[in-house]
Amino acid sequence: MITLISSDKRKFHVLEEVANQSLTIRDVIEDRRGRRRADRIILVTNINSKIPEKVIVYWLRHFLMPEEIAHASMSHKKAEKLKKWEAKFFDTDIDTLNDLILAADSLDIPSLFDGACEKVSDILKNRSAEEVGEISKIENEFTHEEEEEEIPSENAWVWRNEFA
Amino acid sequence: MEPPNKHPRRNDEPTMSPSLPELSTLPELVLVHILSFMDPKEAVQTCILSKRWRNLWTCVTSLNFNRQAFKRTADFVRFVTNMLFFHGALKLDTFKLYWYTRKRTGNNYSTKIRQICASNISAWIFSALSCKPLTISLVLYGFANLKLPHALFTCASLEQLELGLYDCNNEEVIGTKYVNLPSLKKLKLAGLTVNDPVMQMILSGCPLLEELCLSICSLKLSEMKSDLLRSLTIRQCQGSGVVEIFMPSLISLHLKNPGRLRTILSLKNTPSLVKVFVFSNYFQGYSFSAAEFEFFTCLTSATDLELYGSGVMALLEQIGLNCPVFDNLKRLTFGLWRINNMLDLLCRLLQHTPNLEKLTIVHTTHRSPGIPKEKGATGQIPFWCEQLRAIEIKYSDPSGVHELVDILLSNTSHRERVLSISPTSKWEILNL
Repeated sequence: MITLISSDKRKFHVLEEVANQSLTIRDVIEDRRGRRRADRIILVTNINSKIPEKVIVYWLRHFLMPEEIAHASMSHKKAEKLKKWEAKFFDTDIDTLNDLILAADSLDIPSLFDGACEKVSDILKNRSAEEVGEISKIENEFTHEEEEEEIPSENAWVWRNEFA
Repeated sequence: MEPPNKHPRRNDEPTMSPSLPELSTLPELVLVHILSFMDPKEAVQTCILSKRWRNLWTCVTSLNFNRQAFKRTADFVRFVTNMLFFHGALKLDTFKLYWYTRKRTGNNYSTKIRQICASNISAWIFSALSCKPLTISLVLYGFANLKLPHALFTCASLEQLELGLYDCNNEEVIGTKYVNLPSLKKLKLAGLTVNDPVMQMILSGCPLLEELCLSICSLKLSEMKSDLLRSLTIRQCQGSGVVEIFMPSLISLHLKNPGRLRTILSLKNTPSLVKVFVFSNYFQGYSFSAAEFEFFTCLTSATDLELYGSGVMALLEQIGLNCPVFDNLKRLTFGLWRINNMLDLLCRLLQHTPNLEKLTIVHTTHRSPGIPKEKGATGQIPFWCEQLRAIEIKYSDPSGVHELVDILLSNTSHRERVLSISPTSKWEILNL
C-alpha cells in the first residue's frame, strides 16, 4: 500500500500494483524499495486537488484487465464495455480534461494521456475559430489585418478547398 | 474550423475574461499531440486561433490523409502536397493515405489523372519516409502504374506497415524489390498477389515480424517459414494448392475462407499454436482433400478454438467418429444455425474435448447456399466434460433456443453449471 498526498493535503491510499500504472510512481517506488515505511508516501502536489480521485478511478478500472489490453486478446464484449466506460469517464468539461492531461503527463500514464487528448481534439473538431476560442479560452491576439489578410493567404491551400 | 473571413469580426475592444486561458496552459508538446488526433485539414486550420497556435500544426506527428474528406481530387492533391512540404516534424508516428474511390470505367480523362496522381503518391510516400515514420498505412484503389519508392521496403524505423493496393498493377509492387525492414513488427498486405519468392523475401527481410495479415490476396504459395511470427491471419484469400506452415512461435491463427478457391494450410511445425479461428463455407460438390482433414487434426494443441461456417460443419461431418481428441482445449466457440443437424456434430465434438471449461454457442438464422441437408433430428449423443463450468448461448433469433438449451442440459450430467443466454445483434454475428 502506498500513500499519495495531494496539494490540499488529502491522503489517498492505493495498492502498489494499482499505482504502478503510472510509470513515474513505479520508478519512485522502485528507487525507494527496501527503505522505511515513511518512504511509501508520495507527494503529487503539482496536480489539481480533484484530479487524483479521477486518476485513481481510472486506474482501478484499468487494473482489472491491463494485460488483456496489451495483448489485444480481450473479448469483443469486454472491449466494448471498457470503451463505453471511457467515453463516460472523459465526458467532462475542458478544464478537467486539461488537468487530467497535465496529470497523465507528469505521472506518465500513456493511455490516460492519449484518451484525454483525443477527447479534447473531439471537442475542438468542427467548430469555428470563435467557438474554439470561447470553449478553450484561447486568447486571440492577432491584429485585424493579420486575421483577415495575412494568415489566410499564408495557408491559402487550406481554405481554398472549402469553396470548391 | 472555418476560415475567419466567413465570420463577423468580433469586438475590437479586449474582452474581459478573468479566468485563466485554459488550453494555453498546456505545454506545446501536448497541444501537438491533441492536434495529431484531428483530421489534418482541421489541424492546419487551428493556425487562426492565436499566435501560439499559428505554427503548431507543422509539428503534428500523425498524418492521416483521406480522399473522402475532399470534394475534388485536385484539392486533395494540393492539400497533401502542401502539408507534406510545410510539415516540419522530425519524427513521424503515423502516415496514412486512404484513397479508395471507384474508377469510372471508359473514362480516359480519369485514367490520365490517375497516372499523374500515381506519381504524386510515390513522391508523398518518399517525403513521409524522410521523417522516420513508425507506422505507414496505404489503402489505394485503381492506380495502375503506381510505383512504390524503393525506400519504403528499406525503412529502418518502420514498425507497422499496411499495404492495401486494390486493382493496382500489383504483380510488380514488391516483385523484384529488396526487402529490409529491421524494426517491422506488423505487416498487412491486401489486394496483392503473393508468390513464394516474395513471401520468402518478406519473411527473411523482416527479422522481428510478429504479426502477418493477408487479406483479399491472391496466394501462389507452397510454404511459409518464420521463426518469430506469432500471429497469422489469412482472410478471403484466393489460393490454389496447399501452403505448408513452419512457424514454431505461432500462437494465433485466423483463417477465413469463404471462397471456392480456398487456401489450405498444412501445419508442419506449429507447436505453440493455442488460439485458432476457422471460418469456411461449403459448396455443393466440393470434395475435401486429405490436407484439410490433416489440418483439423493438427489443431489439437489449441486451448481456444472458434469454428464457424458450413465448410467446417461439413468437414466435421465427414470426419465423423475419427475426430481427434482435443486434450488442451479450454474454450470452444461454435457457430450453428440448424439446431438438430448441427447439435449432433457439436455433441460428437464435445466427446473429444475432455478438458473443456467454457462453451460458447453462437446461434444464428443465417443461411448460406449449399448447407448439408438436414437429417432426422436426434440430438441424443451424450458427452462428458468434467471441467465444463460455463455454457454461453448467443442468439439473434429466439426461436429454437429453448430446444437447444433442453438438449444440451439433458445430455450433460452437471445441471448446476452457469448458463448465460444473451441476445446478440444480427450485425455482430454477420461480421464474425
